Amino acid sequence: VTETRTLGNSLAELPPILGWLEAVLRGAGVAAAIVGELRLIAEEGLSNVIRHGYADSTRHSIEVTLKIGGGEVLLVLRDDGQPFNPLAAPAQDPHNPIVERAGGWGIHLLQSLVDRADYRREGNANVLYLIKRSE
Amino acid sequence: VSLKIQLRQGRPLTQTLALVGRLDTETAPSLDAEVERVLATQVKVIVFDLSGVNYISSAGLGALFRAQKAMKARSGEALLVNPQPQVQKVFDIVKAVDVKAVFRDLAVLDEYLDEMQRRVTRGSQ
Repeated sequence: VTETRTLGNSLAELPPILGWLEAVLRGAGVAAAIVGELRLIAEEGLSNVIRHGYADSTRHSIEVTLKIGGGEVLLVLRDDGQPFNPLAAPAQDPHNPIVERAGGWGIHLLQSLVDRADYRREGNANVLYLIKRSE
Repeated sequence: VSLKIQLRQGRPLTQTLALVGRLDTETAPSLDAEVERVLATQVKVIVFDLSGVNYISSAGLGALFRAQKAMKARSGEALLVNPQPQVQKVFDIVKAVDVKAVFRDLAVLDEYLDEMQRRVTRGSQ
């Protein structure tokens, strides 16, 4: 199964995309606990891009691709925001107020919940490959 | 609505917010608003009953963290009871929430509140 959706850089567009993601994963028979963690990974990745990824106030689109097969789920997030590799963000003290404001908790969650991950800057896009075992 | 918040009163100066649904980017602002309303009253303890919460993200953690900070600032407490395993897992990973304020069930929480009440009563005698 491979499916793609796009959303704008607005937090209001997040819930329908996460709902779509859940529906696709459930439809493919992925266990509820894994579906919940993938929803969380997607929420943290996308909300971070929406909140911190753009220096301007124009509309941007973010592409979400879901690929299920071979005992794994691959989630790909592609945005045209400022270059940022969330996988390289250092381990952070959750009680540092700057970390809290900058979305450090979310990035830490994302890093902790994936089984494998890769980041590439492709042209003017950040592309985040997030893999989670589904079996 | 993906988060329902039910306000329950029991002990004096204690407000319980029973949450049902998801605590995330979408719903954290409504919890913040509800906590603000509670903070405007005479309250020493806020209890978040998490039995019905099946999902929490960093945005939800932020709302609980802010409530704990606000209650500490007024020498009160914000306590969390009965987190489901997937929610406890997030608490364990991020460690934003004060672990001493997390109770595995209502019986343990009641014991703690009883003891707190006894201390307050003794203190005022």
